[in-house]
Amino acid sequence: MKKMIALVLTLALMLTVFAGCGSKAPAPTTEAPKATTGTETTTEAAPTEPAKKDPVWITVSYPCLVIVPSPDSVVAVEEAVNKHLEEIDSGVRLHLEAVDGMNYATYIDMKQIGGEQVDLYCALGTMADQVSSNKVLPITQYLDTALKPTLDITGKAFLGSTTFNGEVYGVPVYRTDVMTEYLIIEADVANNDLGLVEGDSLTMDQVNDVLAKLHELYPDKITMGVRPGANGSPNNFQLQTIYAGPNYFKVSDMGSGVCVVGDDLTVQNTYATDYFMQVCKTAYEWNRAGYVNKDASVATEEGYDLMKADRCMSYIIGYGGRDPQTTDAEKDTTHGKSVIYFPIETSMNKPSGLAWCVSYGCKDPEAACEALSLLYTDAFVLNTILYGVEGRDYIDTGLGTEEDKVVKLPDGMTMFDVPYYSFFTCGIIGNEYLDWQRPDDEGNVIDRRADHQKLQNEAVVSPIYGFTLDTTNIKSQVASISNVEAQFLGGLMTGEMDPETTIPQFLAALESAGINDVVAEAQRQLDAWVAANK
Amino acid sequence: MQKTAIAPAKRVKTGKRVSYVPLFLMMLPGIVYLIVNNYLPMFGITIAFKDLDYTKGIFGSDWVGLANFEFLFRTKDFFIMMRNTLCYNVVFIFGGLVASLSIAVMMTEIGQWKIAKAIQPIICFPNMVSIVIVAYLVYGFLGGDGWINNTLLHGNGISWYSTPKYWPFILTIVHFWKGAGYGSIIYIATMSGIDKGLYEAARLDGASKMQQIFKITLPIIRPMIVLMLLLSIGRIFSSDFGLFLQVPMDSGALYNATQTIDTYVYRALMKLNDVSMSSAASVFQSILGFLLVMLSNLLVRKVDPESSLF
Repeated sequence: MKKMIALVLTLALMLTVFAGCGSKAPAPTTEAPKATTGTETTTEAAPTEPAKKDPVWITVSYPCLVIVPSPDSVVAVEEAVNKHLEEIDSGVRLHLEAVDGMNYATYIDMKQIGGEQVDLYCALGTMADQVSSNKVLPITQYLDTALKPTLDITGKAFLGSTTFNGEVYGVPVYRTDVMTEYLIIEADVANNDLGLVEGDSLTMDQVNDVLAKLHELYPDKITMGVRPGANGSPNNFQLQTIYAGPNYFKVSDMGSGVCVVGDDLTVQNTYATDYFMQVCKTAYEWNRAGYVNKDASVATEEGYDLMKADRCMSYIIGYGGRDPQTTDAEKDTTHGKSVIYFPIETSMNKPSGLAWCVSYGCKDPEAACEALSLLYTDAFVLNTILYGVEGRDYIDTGLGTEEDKVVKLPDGMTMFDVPYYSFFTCGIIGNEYLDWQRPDDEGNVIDRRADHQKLQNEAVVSPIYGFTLDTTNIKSQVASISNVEAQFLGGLMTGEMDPETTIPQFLAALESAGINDVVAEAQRQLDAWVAANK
Repeated sequence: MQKTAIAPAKRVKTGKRVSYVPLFLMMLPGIVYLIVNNYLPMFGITIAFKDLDYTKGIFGSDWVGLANFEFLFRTKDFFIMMRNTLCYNVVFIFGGLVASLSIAVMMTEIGQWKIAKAIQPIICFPNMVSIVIVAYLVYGFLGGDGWINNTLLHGNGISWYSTPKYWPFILTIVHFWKGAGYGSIIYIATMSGIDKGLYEAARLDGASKMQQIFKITLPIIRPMIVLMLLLSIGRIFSSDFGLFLQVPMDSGALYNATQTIDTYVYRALMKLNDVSMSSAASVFQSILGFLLVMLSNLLVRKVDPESSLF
C-alpha cells in the first residue's frame, strides 16, 4: 500500500499544480453573469437616485519596479487618494495594490485563475492572448460615458491596438512610445579621442568608424557591449531597432516573426527580409572584428556595468523620448564616469504596447472604467500613486502650480528611505503628460513633457499604427516559431553565427514551424483592418 | 496486520471488522488528504483538452480535442527533445544508480570513522546549491574568459557555449556533481539496517570485500533499488529544468544538445502564456511516464516478483 501511495503521489505531483484551478475556477463562472447584471442595474438605477449612491470600490493592481512599497505604506496612499475622490464627489473609491513588477504578470494571472478580485490591471504581454482567453471585459459601451474624459485626451485611434473584432478591450498607456537609440561613450574619450561633442548625432556608418577607432585605441577592452535580452529575448546590439527606423528600412514589426516593410502593406517573414540580413551582417562584422564581449550570446552583464568596471568602451541603448530620461548625475552614477549619449535613430510612432484592462471578474465594469479614466485625467490620483503621501513621501517645492506640482523627496531622504515610492511605475500607468516633475540636482526643472508630446506628434507614423496581430488561430505555429527564434536569434543578433550560412537554416526551420501560416493569417487580418479603417 | 488477518476464523466476522475500525480511522485523514490534494485536482487534466476561457471557467470552456498538443509535434524539434529527454534520463537514472550505490557502499564502509560525519554533509552539499549559482559556477569554468580557457588551454579557448558536442558530457558531470551524494542517502539508510552478523560470517568464510558487497549488500537492498528505479522511470519524460535551461545559459546554439520537453514548452509559451498548451505538455509527459512505470513493473514482476511495486 505504501508503495502504491508513493507511486500515486509521484504521478500526481505534476498535476497538483492545477489544484487551484480545478477547485477554485468555477467560482468566477458564477460571479461573471452577476457582474453583468450588476452593471445593468447600476446603469438603470443611476438616473433614479443620482444623489446618495454608495461609491463603488475598484481594485487597481499596478506593477512597481526597483522598489516595491510595503502594504502598510500603501494604506496611507490609498486614504489620500480616496479622501480626494470624496472631495471631488467621485462615484468610485480605489483599493490600491502595489505588486512587484518582476512577478506582476504571473501574480495577476494566478489571482485571475484563482477567482480572486482583480478589477483594473495592466496587460503585460500580448493583448490578443488576454482577449482570446476572455481574461478581459470589452469596454466599448463605456467609450462615450465613463471613458469619455480619457478619449478626449487620447483620441479614438489611440485604441486601435486594443480593438479586436470591433470591440475595445483596454486603454493603452498614454505616453511617448517613440524610442531613440543612443551610442554611449565616456565623455573624455568622445571629446579627446573621437572629436565628438554632446549633441552630435551619428549615422550607422559613423558608428562603425567610431567603433573601429575605439578598438584601435583600446584593443584590450570590449569596444561594443552587448545588451542582455530580458524575459527570454535574445542578447543584441539594438541593431534590430535602429535598422527598423524610418531612416533605414522602416520596418513595422507585428510580432511572431512577421512585419511590413516601408509603406507596402504586404506582410513578410521578418527573417527573410534585407532588413534582418543587415542587422545580422553588422553584428557579424562587429563580432569578427573583435569588438564585442566573448560569448556575447550568453553574456549577462549590462553595458553600463561593464563601463563602470572599466572593461567596455561603448554600448547602445534605447530610451523613450528625445533625451535620455535621466539627469546627468544619474547617468554618471550608473556608468561610474561622465558619459555622453549620442542619438543614432528614432523609431516610428506606435501606440504603447502596455494597456490597462478591466479583468473578467470585475463586478462593475462601468465603475472600473470611471476609475481607469481617473488615471488619465486626474493628476492628483495619478501622482499620489507614483509619489505617495505629501509630507511623508514627497514635498511640494512650490516651483509648479497646484495642479501641476514640482515635487522632491523630503530632505535627507533617498527613494529607498521614504515609506512609499513608486515613481518607476510612471510610463506604465495612466497619462505620462500628467506626471509631476522633479527638479534636477541643481534645482532646475527640466520639463520634458512638451518635448515628448512634440516628438510623439512629429514622429513618423507606422503605416499599421494601431494594428495588432491576433494569434488565436495560429497558436501552435506561434509556439513553434518562438522556439526556432530562441534557437537562432541569439547567435545571429550577437554576430556569433555567419548570417550567409545560418539564415537559410533559420528560414528552413521557420518554414517547418509554420511561418507561412502566420504570414497568411497576418495578411488576412491586416487586409480586414485596412478595409475597416478606410 | 498479517497476523490478525490469518488468526480469526471465518465465523468471528464481527470481531475482525471491529479490530480494523481503528486502523481505518487512522487512515482516514491520509485518505481525505490524498483525495482532496491529489485526486480532485486531476479533473483539471481536462484543461489540456480545452480552449480555456476565463469567463466560462475550466469546466465550461469549449473542448478542442488534441489541438493543444499540436505544438509539441509540429517540427523536427519533437524528435530532438524526445531523444534528449530520454537519453539524458537513461544516463542519469542508471549512472545515478551506480554512482549513488558506490558512494553508499563506501560511506557504510567508513561509517565507523569520525571523518564520515564530515564527509556526508560535504557530498550532499552540492544538492543544496541553487541551480542559478551552479550555472554561474559552470560559466566561471567555461566562459570566454573562464578558468578552463585561461588556464588549461592557455588562452586558445574553445567557445563552449556555442559548441553543442561537449554539452552531453558537461551536463552529465554537473548532474552527478550535484545529485549523486544526495541520492546515496536512501541507500546508506537501507544498508545501515543490514545485520552486521552476515558480514562477520562471510568474513570468517573468507569472503573478500567485493564478494561481501555483491553477495550480501546488493541482494538485500535489491527491492529498494527497484523501487527507486521505478520511481525515476515514472519521471523519465520530465527533465531538470534548471539543469537544461540555466546551466547552458539558454544558449540557442546548444539546443541540439540541451533541448528537452520542459525547455521546449517553456520557450514555446514564454510569449503566449497559454495554460492549456502547457498542461497538454504535462499530460503528455505524465501519461507516457505512467505507461512506462506499468510496463517496467510488469517486467520486474516477471523476473523478480518480490521486488515489484504492485
